[in-house]
Formats: sequence, C-alpha cells, structure tokens
Amino acid sequence: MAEAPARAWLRQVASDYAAARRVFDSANQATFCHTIGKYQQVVEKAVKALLAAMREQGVLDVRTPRAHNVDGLIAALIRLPRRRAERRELQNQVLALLNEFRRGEIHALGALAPRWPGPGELFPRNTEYPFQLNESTWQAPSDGGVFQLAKDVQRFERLARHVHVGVSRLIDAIQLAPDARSRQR
Amino acid sequence: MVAKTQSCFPEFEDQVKDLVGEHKRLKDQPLLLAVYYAPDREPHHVFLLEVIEQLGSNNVDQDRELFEVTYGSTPAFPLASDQRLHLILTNPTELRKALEENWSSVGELRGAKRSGRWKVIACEDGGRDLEASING
Repeated sequence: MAEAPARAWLRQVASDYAAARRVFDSANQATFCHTIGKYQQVVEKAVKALLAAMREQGVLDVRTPRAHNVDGLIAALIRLPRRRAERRELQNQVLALLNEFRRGEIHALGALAPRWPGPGELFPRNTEYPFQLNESTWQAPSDGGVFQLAKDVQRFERLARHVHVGVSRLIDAIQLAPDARSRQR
Repeated sequence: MVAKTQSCFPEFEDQVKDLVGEHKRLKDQPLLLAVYYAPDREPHHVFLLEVIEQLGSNNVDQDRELFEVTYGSTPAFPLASDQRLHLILTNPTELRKALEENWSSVGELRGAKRSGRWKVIACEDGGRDLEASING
C-alpha cells in the first residue's frame, strides 16, 4: 500500500515540534525566536497535513494551494458544509479544533513569520530577520526582550501542541474511515 | 460515463443559503458578499463566491488567481457523484485588484452576471459596491 502524503506531512510536523523543544533553553532568550519560528512551522504544516488527508478522502481539494497563507487554508477548512447537530461529524470536529480562539492565535503566530513591509511601513518584528523599532533603530529577533517566555514561547507552544495533537487525531479518523481504506488499497 | 453539461443553476439555492448562513456565524471572518453563480465551465457544478473582510490579512494573490476550494458531496450538502461545490474565497482588496486587472476568474464572474446566472445570497454594507463593480 502506498503511503498517503498526509502521513509524510505529519512526520515533518512531529520533527519540527521536536526541533522546537530541542532548541529551546529557558535560560537563554536568544533561543526564543528560533523556538517560536519552529512552532509557526508546526502549525502551518499541520494545517497542510489536514488538507492533504481531506484531499485524499475526496472531501475537498484546493485549486491554488501554493500561494496562499495558512489563513486562507483555514478559511477553506472551516467552511466545509456541516450538520450542526452532528457534533462528532468530521466537519464539526475540524471547526472545534480550529475554533475562533485558536484561529486568532494562529493568526498572531503567523504574523511573526518574516514578511516584506508594505509601502511606508517599518520592517515588522519577526522570528528570523532584523526588524525596525523606528526609522533608525534595528533589533535582532535573538536580542534579549524581543520575545518573552510566557507571553510568546509558552503561549505558542500550547497552540502548536494542540494543533499537532488535534490534527493527528483527525487524520487517524479520516484514514480509518471505510471509504479511505478502500481508496488506499 | 458521459459528463453532464446542463446547468443545475439555480436548483441549489436553498442549500447555498443554508451554507452561507453558517459562514455568517464565523464572527472573526466577516462576510461582506456571497454570490451563488454559474460560470460556463463545469455547468453542473455549484459555485459560490465569498468576499471576507481581512481574509489572508487582505493580501493579494501574486499569481493573479482567486483562491478556489472544491468540496465533494457531504451529508450537509449532498451532490451527485460527478458534482462539486466550488467555493471562491477572496478579500475586498484582492477582488478590487482582480477587477481592475481583469483576472481570468473575474471574467467568469462577469460572464455569469451578464447571463443572469447570478444570485446575491448575502450582502453587507461593504459588499454592495463590490457587487456593483462586477459589471456583467
């Protein structure tokens, strides 16, 4: 039986999560940006793993996945037609995992990914490249105080863990469905 | 199997209204405009355009394509085996840019509106101008 791409995505998610844990040192603030950057990768790849599993199952397909950020992919996932009364239905479980609170957290984490500034904007705070506090003052993401333990690292660790575990469970459920098993044979 | 070529528009209007009603409940993703339409391609499929405030932080697709996702049949939205529900998701900034630059997916919207295969399902204040600017 050929392996489905969703499983490969999930292995990378697990590896990124482990890498985040390895690089993290609570006594060394220079590690915080690298840790948060890895958590951002965990969340983004977990969402893509879920999309891959649902594509394999024939539930949905994204026509133009390359250019779109995780917000757009989540918007597609949470718009799946669903029967509200059927709480255990896959679509409802996707919505429960990617609820409004977590969507806000994912958006906040995604905002820390490097991006080019818009016209007239300063280089924004991010986890990889130097950024501007004002026109003439630059900081490195690894500088002390740029990211904080509770406000940033622990907050996004919780998010990455929940999304990782939740997506893994959903993919197990999707791939155990009778239709999915016959499709993989 | 011979593919169906006849348009099913507007026979899914009730189901589309229900679905849009669900999407309006997503308070962090305010829906400005929802249109059920039928472009010339895949005439037996169901197409729904949704314009969402701040989707993707109001970014514009660099490949000049509107984001499109297709769904198969589900118990909540039953379809024939060869039918798909297409959801086209965009934000106001991107749609204005697409209209201004005449992206290919905008041509489909204009064609559907011109031929009357176009039903506005939801339209909030910020969506009226957008809907009007999709000239048929």
